[in-house]
Amino acid sequence: MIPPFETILTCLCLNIVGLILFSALKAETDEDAEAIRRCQQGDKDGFDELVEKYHKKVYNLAYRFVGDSEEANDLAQEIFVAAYQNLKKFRGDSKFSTWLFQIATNRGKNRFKYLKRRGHFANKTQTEGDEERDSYQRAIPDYSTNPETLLAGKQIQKIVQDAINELDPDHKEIVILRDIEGFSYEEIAEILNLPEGTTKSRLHRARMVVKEKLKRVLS
Amino acid sequence: MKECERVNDLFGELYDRGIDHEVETSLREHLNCCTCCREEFKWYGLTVQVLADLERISPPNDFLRQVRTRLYTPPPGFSFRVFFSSVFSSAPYMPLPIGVTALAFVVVVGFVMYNHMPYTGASGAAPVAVQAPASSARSGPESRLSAWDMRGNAEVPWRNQIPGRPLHDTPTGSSASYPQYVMSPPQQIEKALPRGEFRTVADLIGADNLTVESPSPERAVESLKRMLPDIHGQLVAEKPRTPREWILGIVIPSKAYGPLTTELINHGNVAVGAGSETDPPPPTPKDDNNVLLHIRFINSR
Repeated sequence: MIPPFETILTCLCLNIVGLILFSALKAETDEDAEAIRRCQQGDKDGFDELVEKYHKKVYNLAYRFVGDSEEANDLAQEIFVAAYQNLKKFRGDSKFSTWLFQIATNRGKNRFKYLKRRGHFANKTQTEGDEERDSYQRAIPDYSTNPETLLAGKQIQKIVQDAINELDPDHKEIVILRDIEGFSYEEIAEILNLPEGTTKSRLHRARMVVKEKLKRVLS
Repeated sequence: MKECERVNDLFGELYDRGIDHEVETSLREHLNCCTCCREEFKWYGLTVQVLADLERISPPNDFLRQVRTRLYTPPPGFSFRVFFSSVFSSAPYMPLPIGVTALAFVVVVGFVMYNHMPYTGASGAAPVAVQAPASSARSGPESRLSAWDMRGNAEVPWRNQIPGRPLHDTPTGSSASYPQYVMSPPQQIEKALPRGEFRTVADLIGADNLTVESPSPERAVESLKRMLPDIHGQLVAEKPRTPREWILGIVIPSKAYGPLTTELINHGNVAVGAGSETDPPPPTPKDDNNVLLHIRFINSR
């Protein structure tokens, strides 16, 4: 039985729409493809372009993991070196940015654990905490009546960073990726190789921990 | 209270608006009537907002140059300094100065212990712990150690300080199979010696004249003579006193004292000292490498 002409036409239209959508998606995923291809062929300028494009975001992520400029500088460099050394293994199954932030998150988490073992954060909190806690509270005297004024204070940055540093690594990475770097749940699930539900529940727990710490410090 | 816990668990969904309209409505209603949950949600939202508003930290101006340098500069060659610093710094809570101090402490303690440890000899010469044959255990105490030995103990004061059970004190008679031991630990000998007076290896390993109490001393003597070339020893004197007693003078390398005593205990009971009541042999002369021993063989039957 020959299908009616309308059916064939509908199928053709659907195919064309699918092709257009596929091309659009492909174009989105391949925005770094040219630079990657050049780099994989040994052109250093290709990787320089990628570094140029992502270095601010990677540095910020590194800083949030380690909470220290020098360490963040070293960590961010280490991330790019690792990406450069492993670029030949990048097959393009995911976006380059996802792959890069996968490396960044792993390295950041490892560095965070390493520094925590060495008492890096404890020392900082010990030396700075006692002196600065009073000044925090002096700087934020009236949070209960107007909590929004908290955001204006410069020192709140330090308080929040300290609260993040006290999170365990699994919670910390999700808070950084979602709330600080602004990745979507899908991207986070891909970067961390976790189900979306797990990502959401971990994020909720992490936020609750940070919330309690903020409440404790600011009260 | 359970309702509050449920609402708290849904703060994330509520804040991100990833929740059904109906559920959201019921949550909003609860928040309107529960002050505590409303306050908590306010803090929750504030926390998320604070996290999102954290300032973007900019990398240093020369960050790109630093990355390029690190990327395209060949890694430095092997350096002992870098290696050791990384070894120590990779251990948690142990920075380099503490690591170096700990290492130095271990070295010093090891050196001190090494200097104060008694020499135990290199060839198993060390403590002479002899298990007497069961047959000899049945014989009387008077046949075990001669009077010369007892006198020798009196003449050489440090000898009395050597711990261990002398032969004549060993329990006898009660059980034929009861093992008997003659102990002459060289560590104790060395400790008892006045420092600097005896310096030979033989002193350190406790080499001394020996008495071998054997059921067949002739075989023991022959065995010793056969053994001498193997241990680079020489027979320098042989005095058959009575049909039941021989005294051999031998010079052996100090380090061969261990194998020698091992061989001798195969033939009977071995005790320190080789004197007789009438004619005690002179004290054992020693030099740095060799030792002159007098070995007295007596019949235990």
